[in-house]
Amino acid sequence: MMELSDSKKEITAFFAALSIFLSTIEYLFPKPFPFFRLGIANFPILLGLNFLSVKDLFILFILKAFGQALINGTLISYVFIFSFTGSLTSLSVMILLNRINKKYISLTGISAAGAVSSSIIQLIFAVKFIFGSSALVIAPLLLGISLISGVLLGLFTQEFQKKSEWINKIRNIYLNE
Amino acid sequence: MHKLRPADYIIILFSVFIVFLSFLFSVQHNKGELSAVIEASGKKYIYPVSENNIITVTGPVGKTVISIKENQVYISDSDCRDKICLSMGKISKPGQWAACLPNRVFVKIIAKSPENSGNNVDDGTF
Repeated sequence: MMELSDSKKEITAFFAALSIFLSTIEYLFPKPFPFFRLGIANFPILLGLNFLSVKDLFILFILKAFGQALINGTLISYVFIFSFTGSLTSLSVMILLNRINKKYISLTGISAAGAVSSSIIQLIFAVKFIFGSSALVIAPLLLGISLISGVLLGLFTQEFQKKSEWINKIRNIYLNE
Repeated sequence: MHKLRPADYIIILFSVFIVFLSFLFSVQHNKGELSAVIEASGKKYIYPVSENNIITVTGPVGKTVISIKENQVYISDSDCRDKICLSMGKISKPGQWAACLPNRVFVKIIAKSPENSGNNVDDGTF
């Protein structure tokens, strides 16, 4: 568990570590494509969205992307660029949506939009650069799965944020530094 | 319980709409002769599913072998590391697909309806 004196850097690093751990869990699930992911590794990013600075969110994202690629063994292949582009889109969309007044949007919508936008970009990538137009047949499955997993992860994170004293403590430490 | 806000509903409904649209676009007609469409390294090959065949294509990591046997199409060997493509199983119905991402090979089954079967001939390399 974290010490109360932890700095912003350490909180960001801890979130990245958590994300890489969750990537490992995710790796255990069989999947038809390296990029069909459940998205549970995005949990720390969703958690951090509310209080981490944009700079720290991007650091977290980069650490996560490289850690995940190391685990999946895709670091030195174009599959990495593929995942990286998707995640980058997703993060940017979520950061933008997060600026909307919380009266109108919750983490669930933000998470769903992030998941679906990432899949759309990956789909375009697959059609344009990797396979060709035949790859469009994967669209319903890819988009459908990411919508469902995005909504579920968003609901879970929202509930977690409300109930967890631990995350509130971390948020206070981060914001007070 | 969680409270979903207006924008959440808009995002979710819009996403469902996109999924639905993508579903409409990828729906294949079921009648006509079945063909296996193989895309590899920017080239497109079309083979009839009714004839047994073994096709070898090359991609960035090596060779991928696609077998057509008794109206079923499957990736029977590939030089990729994870062999996820081998475990994707046999496909035999229009709209089904299998793929090897590391080797950039995509296989799907299409049905050519009698009226447009003539137009698609130049689609492939026979």
